Amino acid sequence: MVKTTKNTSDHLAKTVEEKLFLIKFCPDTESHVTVNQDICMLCKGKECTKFCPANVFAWSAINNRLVIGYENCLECGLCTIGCPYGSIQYNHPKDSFGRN
Amino acid sequence: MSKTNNSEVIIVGAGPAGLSAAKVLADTGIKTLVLEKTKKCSSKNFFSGIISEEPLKEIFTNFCDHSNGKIMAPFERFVDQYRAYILQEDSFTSFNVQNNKQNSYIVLREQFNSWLLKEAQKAGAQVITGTAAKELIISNGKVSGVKTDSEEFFANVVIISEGVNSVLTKSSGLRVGELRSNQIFTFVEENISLSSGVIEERFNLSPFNGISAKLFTQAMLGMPSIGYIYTNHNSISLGIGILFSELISKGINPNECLEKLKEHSCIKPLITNGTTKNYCSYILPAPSLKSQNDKSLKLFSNGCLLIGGAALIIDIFSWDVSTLAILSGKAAAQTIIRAKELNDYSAKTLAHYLPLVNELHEIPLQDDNLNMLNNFNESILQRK
Repeated sequence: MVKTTKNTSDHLAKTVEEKLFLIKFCPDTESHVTVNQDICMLCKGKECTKFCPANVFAWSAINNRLVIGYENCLECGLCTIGCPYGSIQYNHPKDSFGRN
Repeated sequence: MSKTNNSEVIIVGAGPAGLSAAKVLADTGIKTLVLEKTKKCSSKNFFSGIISEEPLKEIFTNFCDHSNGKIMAPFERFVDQYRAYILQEDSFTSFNVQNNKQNSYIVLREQFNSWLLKEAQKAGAQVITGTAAKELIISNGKVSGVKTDSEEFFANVVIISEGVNSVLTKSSGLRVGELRSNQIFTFVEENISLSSGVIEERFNLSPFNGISAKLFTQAMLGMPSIGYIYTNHNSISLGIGILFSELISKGINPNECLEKLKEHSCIKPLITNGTTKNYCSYILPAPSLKSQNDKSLKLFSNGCLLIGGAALIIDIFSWDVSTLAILSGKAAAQTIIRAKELNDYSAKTLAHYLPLVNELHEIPLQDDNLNMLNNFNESILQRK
């Protein structure tokens, strides 16, 4: 059997998920990012699901709501600026929570 | 909720701007409290940057040991060369500007900010980390302190130095409305480890010398954008910023732009065999948005001053982004020292901050190389 040798010389991460895996987070039990689901439901572009550098936002078609993976938030504040309808509210994570 | 009222000035955010203000204030014996939301002052949103000796060493006098000239602040490498890369779809041009002055340094901000913090503490400033300021306390139309999750802190003046993503600025009413997507660049940065020998070979550097490079990526990405490379001691920081409105309209994730950059024939050989160690994201104001012209942002109110990124006093295209922020911290401290002499912390006295800030935008840098390079940046970006 030919054993596939893992290319150990190159460990450059490519995807957002691979990069987030390298970061130490200390997530709170509740989200510091909140949205108005009524607005998100009507939003056609769902821009936040594309531009967030940590892929925090995902649209769940089954539940018809926006899922917020706040645990991975890089705390840049892009989301409140990028949402065309002002649906996203950003607060800093509570004391000592968030990215460490 | 416990109340603490033993400082004259509260500074929210322990970045270069806030700590510069803290140091100047503490040096004159003003009781200063710095609140920082991260545990270790770890500057989570940027990893690497360039620090110019001027004006920092005037504020942080221990920056170098005056008896032997040794630099005491933790730095990665001297900036030996400034380099500009102009990237096309599948080709590139570059040029170097040699810096023989040893007057600027590549720093990793986590270590560097920790050093600034210790120096501010030595001067007498009190620092509390792991504490997020949630809102301003306003009584009788005057800012009189800040609230955290568990405490209230009172002071004569509050300086907001939270950076561009400033929650307090919005809640205080100093900023009316959100920044718009065509007013900001969104940055992503990756830290890639490589041995110091490999870095020196690939960039043609002597030990302890480094490169600060700007990447003009407009033609490559087809969007207003700017990238950068800093060679740290044994890692490379590679980042790119894109005009946010363009990114939204094209439906692209900023990480895709960073990956495209990493695959470019100019960049790929520089990072090959490296290991990604970290990733971060932050925003900077676009150059068209000069805070003094931005009517929706006020830099002061009764008992409150904005500095650094929170005041949008940051020049995105300059080679040393933090210099203006540091100078704005110093200007705020000088304003408060004057207010203390008059025992008046109202907007009327704090308004003296404005001419000081406006001057910052007027004064050319003391370094001819940087002036030339900054002019180059502006002209190339205006050509589109």
